[in-house]
Amino acid sequence: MWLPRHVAALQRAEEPVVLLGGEEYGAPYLIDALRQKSRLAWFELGPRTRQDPVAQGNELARAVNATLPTPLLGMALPYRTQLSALRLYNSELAPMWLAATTDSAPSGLLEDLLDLRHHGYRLLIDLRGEAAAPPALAERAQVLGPAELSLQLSEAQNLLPRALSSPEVERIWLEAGGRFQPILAAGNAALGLGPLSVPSALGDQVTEQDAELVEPSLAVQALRRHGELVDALELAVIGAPELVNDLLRQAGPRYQEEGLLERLHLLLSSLPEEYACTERVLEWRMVAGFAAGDLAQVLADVDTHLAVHTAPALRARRAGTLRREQGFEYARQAVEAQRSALTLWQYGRLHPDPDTGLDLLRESVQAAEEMGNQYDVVRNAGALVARLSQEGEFTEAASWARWTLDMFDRGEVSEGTRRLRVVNDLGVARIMTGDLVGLRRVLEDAQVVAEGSLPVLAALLRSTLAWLELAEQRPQAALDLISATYQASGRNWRARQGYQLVRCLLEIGNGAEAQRVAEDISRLASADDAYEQALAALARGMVGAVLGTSGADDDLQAAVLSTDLVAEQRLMGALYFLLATDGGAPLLPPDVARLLGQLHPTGLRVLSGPERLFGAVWASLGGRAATLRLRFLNPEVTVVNDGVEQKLPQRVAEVALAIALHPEGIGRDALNDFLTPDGQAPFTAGGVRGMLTRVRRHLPVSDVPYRFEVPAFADVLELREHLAHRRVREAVSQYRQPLLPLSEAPGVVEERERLEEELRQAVLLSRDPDALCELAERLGDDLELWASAAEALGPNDPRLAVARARVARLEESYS
Amino acid sequence: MNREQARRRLEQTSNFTLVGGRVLITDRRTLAMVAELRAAEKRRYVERPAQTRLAPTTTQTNA
Repeated sequence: MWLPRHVAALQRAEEPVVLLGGEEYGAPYLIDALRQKSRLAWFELGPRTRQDPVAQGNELARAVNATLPTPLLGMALPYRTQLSALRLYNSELAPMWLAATTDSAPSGLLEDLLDLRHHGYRLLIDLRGEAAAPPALAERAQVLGPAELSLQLSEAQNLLPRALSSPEVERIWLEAGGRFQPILAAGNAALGLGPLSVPSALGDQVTEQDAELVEPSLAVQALRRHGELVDALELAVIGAPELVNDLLRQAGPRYQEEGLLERLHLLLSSLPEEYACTERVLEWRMVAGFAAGDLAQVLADVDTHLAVHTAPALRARRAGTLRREQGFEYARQAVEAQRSALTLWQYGRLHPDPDTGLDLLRESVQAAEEMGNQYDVVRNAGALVARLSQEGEFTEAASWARWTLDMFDRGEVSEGTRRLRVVNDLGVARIMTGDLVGLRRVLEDAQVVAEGSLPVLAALLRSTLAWLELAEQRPQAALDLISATYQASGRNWRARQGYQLVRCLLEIGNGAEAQRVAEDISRLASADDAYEQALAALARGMVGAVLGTSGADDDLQAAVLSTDLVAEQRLMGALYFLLATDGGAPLLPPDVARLLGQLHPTGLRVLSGPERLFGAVWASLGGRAATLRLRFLNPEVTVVNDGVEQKLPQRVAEVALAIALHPEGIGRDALNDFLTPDGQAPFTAGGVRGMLTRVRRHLPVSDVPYRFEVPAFADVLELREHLAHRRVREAVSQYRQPLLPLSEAPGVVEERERLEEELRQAVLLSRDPDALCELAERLGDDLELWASAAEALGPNDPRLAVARARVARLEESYS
Repeated sequence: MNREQARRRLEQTSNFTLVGGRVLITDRRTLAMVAELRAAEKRRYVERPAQTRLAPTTTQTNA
């Protein structure tokens, strides 16, 4: 039997497989049969997609998502981003077949696709338009061409109906030259069945002989009925341009959502003149032209139209292409003519007054909801999140960002790049508000998929990850991230990255290098760019404040007062200003002082440091007054005593933990019980005294009963406090690793087990998806946590596929 | 990019083939929908009432 023989051969193949000969030699039938037996994502690269990396990415994402119960990959991302995501999720997806059908072998995608074999995927390429595989593919794949795919006579006899005699079968087989499809078609005809069905990545097709010529307007209508808006608009442009204006109402947003604005630009640029200047067509010509960087043709037509028409939507779009002051005037005129989701969004973005701008953006979200257009809702909410972050309203920004992401994850909008921006904005807002639970995984996943194909977004995500590293007290990791981005950035991005690099260098105590970077970016900043100048002043001022050089307060005041900087940068300037001036709080502008007073301790730690210099500044802002800060839940146990940080040896850490857990003081016997495992001799009185002498080299500890002689803070106690008040997200965030995992002291072991179980139970009870995912990741193979995470996650949350895969794997291993 | 350049590039990269002003369709689902639309159009034509002059609307009467 031909099909089972080749399907079995494909399943056995150790290399990727290239099929030549297309339909004639049965390639799509083989892929379809393989799809019945294995998980297989099949996509097609037609003439339209071959030149467009985003369109290729969309086809790949659609095919992979179709094999999953919930979508994993977003739209509007270049194929390299999708390949990064496939590598990232390989343990959940592989083994999976990826099958691509194409007329010719475009460079890039197919070769990159073959690399996925090293990540557990199986590859199949149906190269239907080529007589031979190009060398780049042939060297890395097993090629099956006409010689291998032709049917033997016995196979043709099995394929054809028994009603046909042997000589008839032999005649058909000879006429067909052993080709699968003509033999199948002859059988179909002999049985009097209708046109032969040809499987394809896009759904069943008919053969070329059975294809129909259809009036374009009718075909456009049919495609529109099926929601195939991208195809419908393209066909309308080519064959029924009178339908384009009406079709654009739905198809314009679809092109935008799928990241196909350059294609839309090509389509609308080719429209006959009589259809090219209606208001809606002009609007989308401008949106597409803006994305394609080619506004030359359309702006004159738009301005001619706007000279005699109010055209609020078109006017609002035009506002986005103008300099800020002129754009603001256009946006104002547009909103006066009509308060719509679009006009309010543009006016809100451009309004110079923060409060008015935010109110307009909130109204724009409501207007979009009332119109029922989900894309507009997400666009406007995204702009609101960005503006709230810029103004330092991080708590509200986080709420709006979470809600916006929920809309993406419910599948109401699928534009991947916009989703990644919201992920980044949410990351910043959550760091500034101290909500770190589950954040690392989300940001790292986003960064991995953006890396290599979306450079600006990847740089933004690296910056946010660096802030997270600072928040979690890993300054070297933060420095590594920012340093690489800084070195790779162009001149006009140096200031944007440089102030962050300076922040990291100061944290690790490399003032000399920080000074060099601040000087570099001051020289490189454009003289007429107020934003770059303000950032350079911020960097110089930060270095000056730490090194104690003169002029720092002037630079920092300039940064704090700059209207070009966002709140995060102005707050950073304000914190270093307080350090430089030692009591300069009354000189801060009221809005900055208010935001500083509200900033979470984690935000303070990210925006200023090192801790040994900033203890007094933070305390003056209402921070903790403790002079002794113990961190037991870090890979290295540390103490910060009066601003000086040191690592604690294991035994000292065990004693410190015993004392921290007994704030009322711990006696000698109780300490002995805490430290000595069963069966071992307890410490003698002299041994305990000697041990305490070693402890006192690091920590101020009293005589018996032992307690700290200064106010102390310990992360273990803070975690317990979070649990007592049901703040599970904060508790999980605090639980960076098990308590002193190498210690066998019975008091430590008991506390370690109790702490973990109490945290587990609190998280399971909370049903908080972020907390469940984060703790499940940290604890590894905990089936109950993974199962609860899978139940709590939204149906389109990308983590759901991961959680379900883990549950399946753990269930299998336990059974 | 002017209109002619755009048109040429579109023709080279489109998934659609036009023959004598009509488009070649191979997709079964689209062909089924085309057949449905044609049938609906035919029904509308057959069922259209003989009198095609519109009755005056209330607005027209009032006017």
